[in-house]
Amino acid sequence: METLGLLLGGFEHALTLWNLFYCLVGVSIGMLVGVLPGLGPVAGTALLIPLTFGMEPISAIIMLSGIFYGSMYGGTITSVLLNTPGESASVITCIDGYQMARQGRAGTALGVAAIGSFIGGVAAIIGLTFLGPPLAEFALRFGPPEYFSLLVLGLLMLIGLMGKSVIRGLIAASFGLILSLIGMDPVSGAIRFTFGRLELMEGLDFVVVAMGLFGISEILSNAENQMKLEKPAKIHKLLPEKEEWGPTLKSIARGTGLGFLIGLIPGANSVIASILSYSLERKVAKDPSRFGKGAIEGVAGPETANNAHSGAAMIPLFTLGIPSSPTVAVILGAFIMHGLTPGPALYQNNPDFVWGVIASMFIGNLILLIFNLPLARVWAKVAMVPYQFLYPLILIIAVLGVYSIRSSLWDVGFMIFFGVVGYLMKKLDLPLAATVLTFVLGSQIESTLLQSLATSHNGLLIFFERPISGTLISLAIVILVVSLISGWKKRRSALASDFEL
Amino acid sequence: MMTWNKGVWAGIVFALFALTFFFLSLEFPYSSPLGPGPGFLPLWISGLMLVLSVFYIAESIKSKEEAGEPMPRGAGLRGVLFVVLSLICYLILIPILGFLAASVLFLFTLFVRETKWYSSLGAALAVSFSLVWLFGSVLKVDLPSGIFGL
Repeated sequence: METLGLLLGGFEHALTLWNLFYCLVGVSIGMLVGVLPGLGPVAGTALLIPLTFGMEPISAIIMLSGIFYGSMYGGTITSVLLNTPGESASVITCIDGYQMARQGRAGTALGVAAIGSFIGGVAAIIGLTFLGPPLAEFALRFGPPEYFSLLVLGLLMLIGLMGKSVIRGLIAASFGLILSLIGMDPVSGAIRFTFGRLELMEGLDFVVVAMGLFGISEILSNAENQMKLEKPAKIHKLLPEKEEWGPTLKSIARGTGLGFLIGLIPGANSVIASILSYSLERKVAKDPSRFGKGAIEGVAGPETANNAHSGAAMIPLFTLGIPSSPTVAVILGAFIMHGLTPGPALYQNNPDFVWGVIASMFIGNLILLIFNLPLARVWAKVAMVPYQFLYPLILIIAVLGVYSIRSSLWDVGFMIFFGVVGYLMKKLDLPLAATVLTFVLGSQIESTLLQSLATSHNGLLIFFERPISGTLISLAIVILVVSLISGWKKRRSALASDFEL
Repeated sequence: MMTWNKGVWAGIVFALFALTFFFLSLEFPYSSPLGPGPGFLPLWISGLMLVLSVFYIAESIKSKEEAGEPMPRGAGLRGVLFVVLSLICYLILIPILGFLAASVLFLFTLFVRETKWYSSLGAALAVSFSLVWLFGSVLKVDLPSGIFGL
């Protein structure tokens, strides 16, 4: 009951005129980012961070998280209508969604996706509301060794789940970690790796690195292939047929559960949630041959799962301060920029903030439902903005945004540099997410490691001596060993083969 | 004659990167009176990265098929280089011409590949002025003014 009271208090903050406005702006930008191929949620969120500098922290996070979950809705529209995923979590929706559109059922595909997204999203926020506080309370017992083990576990899960090669994943992770060490060391005050340049004293800015690695690199990849968009299919009749409601709702329920569970795992992103949901739907279906030919469950399940994931992904962020996907890592960067430390203490020190943001997510999902059911046609038109005119705008806003952080053209230069690095890393199949994650968590990784070792009598054994830390670090080692072995056996991971259906 | 695939080259670059940071880490104290010092983590991580790079090179030499996407050639490569070079020129021109003029030029260069010169110029002017207004006047960012003082 106490939680409900706190949540109601949160609505008081979220329902102020300005915060409602920022929520609306956030989810609209999220829809835009989702609808426009060539601009993903990570880049979109990073692009907008500079705009939030003058805002209250609560308004800033309301807006940025709106972009995150809003983009999960928007990505569906282009997948169904144009067979082009607006963002990667909707890749799988292309399969059956586009087939439905070709059969003249585009409206139904979008309608089902919107309803599923809403149910999945809201269920996940309810989970955040009720699971958050006890989890945060539990995590208050965490000391530096527990945190360090948790960070290692999250990182190895990301590498094990995402990449095809553990070696490449670990290289990408160490690369990010080394970059994060540049500048003044907060523990000892030593100035490291600045090559005598004053500009590097404060280290590389997170927005610069994230925008370069994700935003600029995405534009470079797109510059390579001329994007040609087809004419979108017509939308009519948004709701499924009477006999389809049963199976659809069942897939939505499965998608909610699956997406929610995967959202809790640090390192597992929404793409994994939607892909796993698709293969689950295929497995439980009576007639799996319908999949790929416009099966409604193939749209409902994955679309629900990626929204449930985006809500649930906020749970590890709010309670432990650990991001579970690149976009959440960017939001974590924004937390730090606004002087907030995500983690268990957040519930105690800034309850207004926490509950305000949670309440805004309920409101945001409602706005998105309206955007996607009656207004789906409008967004389909937005998707037709030619990319050739869009990318110069994205580039110039990125330059301005990065410049405005510290009024430094050096930062702009670094962003361009990291854009090229990110582009090459994509070409080499090195996971960018691992680099960004270690970069944003770098100082935390170092300080928890050093603090643990300083109090330890047995060196590294301290991580195994304490029960929670020992469990987490053993789990991390198991994951590392398993992914190394499966890599050596040259077997493609189950995820990769499912993906190539 | 076996040609090296791009993974080998990338591995060498990462190895050199790790080696540089490894030697730089030696300048910092490995331990302090309170425990490990500022040189501790950089040394271990760059050392680990060096070892991983060697594995990466070995993995790339052994594997027949290349990991990841092929590198761009022809028109694709030109497209990528065009965007990178425009960005670099833009960055160099901002302090000289000022933000406004440099942006008009930058946007015009990108737009004019796709459409007529007069619509490109109009769009470039409109976008640049609105952004200067948004960032300069509303968000109070101090934009570089350059030789024209604009």
